[in-house]
Amino acid sequence: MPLSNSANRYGIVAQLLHWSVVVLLIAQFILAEAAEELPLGVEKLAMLARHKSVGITILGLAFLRIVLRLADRPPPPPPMPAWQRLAAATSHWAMYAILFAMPLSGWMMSSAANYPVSWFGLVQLPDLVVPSESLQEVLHEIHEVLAGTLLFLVGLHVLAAFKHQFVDRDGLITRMLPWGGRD
Amino acid sequence: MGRKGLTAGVVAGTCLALAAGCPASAGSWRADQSAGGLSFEATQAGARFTGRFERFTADIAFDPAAPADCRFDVTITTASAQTGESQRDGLLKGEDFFWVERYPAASFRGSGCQVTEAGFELDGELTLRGVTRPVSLGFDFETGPDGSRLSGATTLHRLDFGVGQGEWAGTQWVGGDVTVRFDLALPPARAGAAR
Repeated sequence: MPLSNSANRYGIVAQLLHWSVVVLLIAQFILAEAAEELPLGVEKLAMLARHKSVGITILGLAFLRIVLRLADRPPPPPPMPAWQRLAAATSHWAMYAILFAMPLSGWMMSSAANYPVSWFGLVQLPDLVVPSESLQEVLHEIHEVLAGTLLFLVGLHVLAAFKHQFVDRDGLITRMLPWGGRD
Repeated sequence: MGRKGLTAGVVAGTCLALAAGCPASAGSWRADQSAGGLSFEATQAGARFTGRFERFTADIAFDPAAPADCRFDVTITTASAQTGESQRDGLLKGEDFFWVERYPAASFRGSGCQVTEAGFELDGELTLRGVTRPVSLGFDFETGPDGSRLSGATTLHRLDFGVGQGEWAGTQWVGGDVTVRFDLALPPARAGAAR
């Protein structure tokens, strides 16, 4: 499988980025849900610290994905009605936007709460806003709305991919898999 | 800085007697939070954050020309610790950290300052959460037309004082070292003396 995208398949780099973000996003939802349940304690601090570190990692990967997306044209989509192509493009760019907006709102939220972000205890990130509890609450809301929106878009994305694979049988999913389909 | 929080400086007796020859920078002051800040810098999950004590009083006698005669007596209201996040502030007031119900005040006392390469140093005793331990305070003392500025810092190990009980007694997620900083603006001593 080539490093870069071909006519029928995403390259190794694009696939690796796509699937690592999938895995990290699942981890993010699990960590956030677990932390939410806990009272303020060492365990909660640890969960949130990991959540923040993974979030910053996703932010970095989102940058790479945008650069790659713009530099290396994705394989052209299989034939489909124009509205579907538009819906696909819109939801893709919305998901990219959220991959930036979620970590940034989380980072701002941490700054507002005066719980600065450290990336895995290795580097401390600068604060984006000055501490303010009211701002922190607003950012928390935004962060949660974005999470819900992302969940919805990912659900749509997965359903659309399955529809292409199992209803249209146009082999769309194999473009993002290292095996199957055409090379 | 507001003058309100500063009661008039009363210059030490020897200094009063020689009013004319008395160095303007020497004096004794009673300062509180309106004279400046008393902050602390701690670590959570590998990231430094700053909090502050909003109530304290500091009785300070200091003459840069005779540092050995200095005397510091600082009392800090532990319940006034603010970190900008109410849950954490509540935690700090609780039994696992400052235990403000039992130990409403922390204090630092010492006399006999030394001259160091960086400025001055005072070996005093800090009492926090009922534990008294020696603490060395490095500080600067600068005098200008508007008075003097006293600023310095020291680094403590919170667990030496039992600040962090139970699950908080580990240092993996909440660091053990806490840096305490202060910066006080003191009015000209002579103004107090002339009164």
